[in-house]
Amino acid sequence: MTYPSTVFFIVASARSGSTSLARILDTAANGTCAVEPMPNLNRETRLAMDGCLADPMAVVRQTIVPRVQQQEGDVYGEKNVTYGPFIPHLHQALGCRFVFLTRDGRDVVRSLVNWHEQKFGTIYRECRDPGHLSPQALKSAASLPVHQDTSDYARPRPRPGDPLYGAWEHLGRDEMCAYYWSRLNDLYLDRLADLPDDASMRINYTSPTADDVLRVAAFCGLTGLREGVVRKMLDRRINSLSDREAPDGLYPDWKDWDGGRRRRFDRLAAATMQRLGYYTDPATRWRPATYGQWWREHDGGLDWYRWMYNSRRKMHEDFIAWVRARERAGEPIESLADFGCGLGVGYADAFADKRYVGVELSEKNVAWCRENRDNPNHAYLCRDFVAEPFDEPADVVFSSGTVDNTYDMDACLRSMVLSARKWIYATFYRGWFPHLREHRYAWRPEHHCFYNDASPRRLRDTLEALGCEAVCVEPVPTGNTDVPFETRVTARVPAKRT
Amino acid sequence: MLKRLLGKLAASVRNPRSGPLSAYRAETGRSMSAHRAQVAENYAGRTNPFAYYERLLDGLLDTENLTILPLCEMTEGSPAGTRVFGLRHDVDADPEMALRAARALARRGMAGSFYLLHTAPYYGEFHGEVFVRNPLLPEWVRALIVAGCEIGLHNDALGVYQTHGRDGIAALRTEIAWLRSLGAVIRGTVAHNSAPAYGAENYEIFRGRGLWRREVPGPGGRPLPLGAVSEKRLGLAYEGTFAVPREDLDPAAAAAFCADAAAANVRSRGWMQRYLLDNPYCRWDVDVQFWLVGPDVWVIAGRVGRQTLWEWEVPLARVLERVAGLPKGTRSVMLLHPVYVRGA
Repeated sequence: MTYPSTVFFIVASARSGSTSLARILDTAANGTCAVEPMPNLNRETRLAMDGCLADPMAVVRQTIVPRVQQQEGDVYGEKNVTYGPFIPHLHQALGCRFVFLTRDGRDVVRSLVNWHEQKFGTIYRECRDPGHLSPQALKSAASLPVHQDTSDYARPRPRPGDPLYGAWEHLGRDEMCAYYWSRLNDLYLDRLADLPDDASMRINYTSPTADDVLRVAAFCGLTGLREGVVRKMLDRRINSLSDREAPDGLYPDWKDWDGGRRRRFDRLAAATMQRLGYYTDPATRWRPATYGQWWREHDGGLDWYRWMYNSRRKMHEDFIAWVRARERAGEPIESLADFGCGLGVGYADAFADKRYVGVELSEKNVAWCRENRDNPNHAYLCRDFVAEPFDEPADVVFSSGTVDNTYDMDACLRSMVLSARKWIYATFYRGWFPHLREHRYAWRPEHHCFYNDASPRRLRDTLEALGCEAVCVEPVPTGNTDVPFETRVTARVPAKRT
Repeated sequence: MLKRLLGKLAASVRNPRSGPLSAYRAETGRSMSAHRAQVAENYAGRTNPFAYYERLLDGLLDTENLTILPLCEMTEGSPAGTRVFGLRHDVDADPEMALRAARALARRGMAGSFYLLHTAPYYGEFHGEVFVRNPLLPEWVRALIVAGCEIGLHNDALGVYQTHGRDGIAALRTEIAWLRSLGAVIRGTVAHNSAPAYGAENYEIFRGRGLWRREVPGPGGRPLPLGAVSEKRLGLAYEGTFAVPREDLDPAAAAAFCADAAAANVRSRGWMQRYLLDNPYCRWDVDVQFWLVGPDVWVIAGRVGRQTLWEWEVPLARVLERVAGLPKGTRSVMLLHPVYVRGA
């Protein structure tokens, strides 16, 4: 009996690219990498995750160890998505290495849902929404009774005592997949952390390069892989829907998720996204690297901002009148903060007698204001006000036609509330969308900003959840024909604790 | 004697074509919310919370050496060393709760068989000459397919003849074909009701499943076409009541039992004991049957070797105890109506 000198396992969540990596590594000259060899521990992994498997080591010794011992060649590897609970036992029994392959959870959720709808129809079969199944997927589901479907059984579910246990049957498939991705990756992270550092390496397969794959090959002791071949195999998108001759799915790319999808995903998977480094900002979830570049680079100058102001003059005048009305009603407004102030057109003059702080993402605009606007009671700050609440609370924090260009409208409102002493006031220039249950986000890479449609219901829910009172979300006539109504939000913020 | 009994039976069966004109009845079409309200009213006081069903499933999962199979896989005996168990769901009234049950099974990777009643209001209604299916039905069927349970037809062919005066065999054939056109794999049927309802068991419509030779009057006085259709030609492999004719059948006793429609009641201890244990016209090709008939109320009936099991109105805990005590090599069926687990 020969025994490979090096044994490795690729561990990952499903739809992360592990089949692609395994196929590429299998082209090595001195070893093999098997894709989901049987028995694949589908049942055992669920039992282990549920705490119902008495002796995981016995399972490993009876199934995987004999299979490894039968292999010839210097290096032997396997990929399976079910080995999470068995990592310490595999390491103890075989002294093996682990390649921990990760992919952005949002991409995995999309891939799983599309895989279900276009190909197999069998992912989280208990989900209340069967999904928009292709004929191929429906036929596949009908031909695989659930008691024989060990792949779906292998996916984790909340156990009694878990806060999600009762809510599970009400979740959508995307939420179940987010739970799956999060639970599995947390399991891998936890188990691998208990092994020596040199026993595992991680590869981020969200956008893998040939270099990434060659580093994995070196870690596994595999030789003979050629960069050009690796690159071609990566380009083939092995095991994607198109590779498996199925139509592309309908589930949207995460960059086009509406606010509901983003919130549902984050509720279940944000902590793991942060653990894996896919989220770097704890306050907000989605900030493209080039976000805001347009404002930073745009060189329209004062004329352009005047034109912008005049194009929505009524909305601006409405706000100024609202401030005056509050004062007439006996509520002094001494300070205002303007989120997305541009060059301060209109407001710097309207609020000349007050403390006015313009906040801008564009350093160029802030520099221009500091140089050209000399009211000693006014100040201009450069910061991403979505993520960073204002540290000089103002009586009123307002934003005119900017929130709908930000990467997270709810986070922007939250930041406004945290920065205000009395009121927030925001107008949304894109229009009034009373039918939307969730915010609709659309990233335009050519403009490096978002063009979002705000859901009135979600705006209200967000503000009420923040403790605001007198929340008013309403359509306001613009007098224009292209956008006859804008959305206006006013809310009294909760008193700040001192 | 037999002739007199058959005469009584004929009178007891509703036949819209043979008697005086039926009374004019009118009602407003029901939305699903109205249907739900009606079902809630009809089954008030008889239901269990859905968590009760989940407790049952978890209890079965915790039972060692229990192999739970769809009924279509129960026809080949019990693998050595195990106890085979089938979860039969007769979807008489509540398709939404059936879906919920199928999903609870899927969450646990458990098999279950669900039989859709083609004469139930949720399935469809006759409008003049046309049977109009509920437009929500295709989505329910697709959802059951995705949940991975077995789907079958709850055969009420005789009900189509006797209650609606229409061709029950055509109804059976059409609905099986239609369910298949939606992607469902239909391998079997389960007869709805019992012989006292129509004078014959619904499965007697199938060739070779007649209980004894007789004529049962149908619409217009014409005999019901018992034994007139081949299961094989319909692509069916089994009948899920697992009833088989008695070799020692006494036609008079069988006819008398069939004729006594007034006594036929799942909440009647005497009738249920007779029907499940001492049935004069059939025996059961399964060892034990467990019927859920009310709020934590079960009936257990069967024979294992020389031992007779009969327990009336026992709770779930006793059922699970009995299941755990079944000998290896036995085949048993649990009969569940999803409507009984629709409680809050």
